[in-house]
Amino acid sequence: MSREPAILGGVDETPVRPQGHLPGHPTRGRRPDERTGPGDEGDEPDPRFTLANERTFLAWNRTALGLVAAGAAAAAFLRSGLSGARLVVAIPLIVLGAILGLYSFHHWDANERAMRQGDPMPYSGMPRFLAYSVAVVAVITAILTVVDLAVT
Amino acid sequence: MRDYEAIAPDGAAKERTALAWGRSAISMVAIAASITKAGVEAGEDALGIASAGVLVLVAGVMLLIGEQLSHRRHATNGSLDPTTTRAALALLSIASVFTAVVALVIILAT
Repeated sequence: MSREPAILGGVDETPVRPQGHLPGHPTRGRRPDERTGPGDEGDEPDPRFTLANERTFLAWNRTALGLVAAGAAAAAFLRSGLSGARLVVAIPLIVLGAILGLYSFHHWDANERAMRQGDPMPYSGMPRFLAYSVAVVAVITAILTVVDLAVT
Repeated sequence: MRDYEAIAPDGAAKERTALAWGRSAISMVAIAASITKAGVEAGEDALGIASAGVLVLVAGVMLLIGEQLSHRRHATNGSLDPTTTRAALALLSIASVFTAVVALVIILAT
C-alpha cells in the first residue's frame, strides 16, 4: 500500500499505521515486550516453502526422537564391568534429544518469521553442534569399550 | 512439453509433508518399544509399559494432527492459518521433550 501523501485536496487519506501496530490488526497495539506468532507479521509465503519448513521441523524432531531411542537402547543393552558406564553413554544422548526437540520448534519459528518478512534465513549452528556431540559420545563409547575389555 | 506446474502446482509438497508426519509418528512408536524394553530389562515392567502406553497415544495424536493438517491444506490449496500449524508443531516439540524426560526417569529409576 502506498504511503505517498495525497496531492489532490491536500489531504492524505492513506491510513498510516502507528509504529508498533501489527499488520492486519490496525487497532491493536503491540507491547514492546510482546512476542507474536509468525501469522501476525509479514506476508504469507509460497505454501511450498512453508511445507518445506514444516518438513525440516519434522526431520529435526525425528532426529531428537532417534537420539532418545539410542540413549534408551544404550541404557538397556550396554553391559559393562564399569559401574555407571551405560549412564555415561545414555544420559548425554537423551539430554541432546531433549535439546533438539526444543530447538526444532525454535528453528521452524525463526525460519517462518524470516520468510514472512522477506529476511535472509537465519544461520543455525545446531548441525555442527549435533555432529560434534555425537562424535564425542562415540569416542567416549569407544574408550569405555576398550577400558572394559582391558579390565575384564 | 507438459506444464507440470499446472498438473502439480506444489510439486507434491503436501503429500511429502503428510508422509513426514507419518514417519514421525512411527518414530514415536519405535521409541515406545525401546523404552518398554529398557524398563522390562531393568525390572521396572509397570513403569516401562505405562510410559509406552502414553507414547503410543502421543504417536496416535501425531498421526491425527498430520492427517488433519493435510486435509485442511487440500481444502485451501496449501494455505493454512499459521496459528494452527504453530500450535501443532509446539505440541510435537513438547511431546519429544516429554519422551526424553520419560526415558531419563526410567534410566535413573533403575
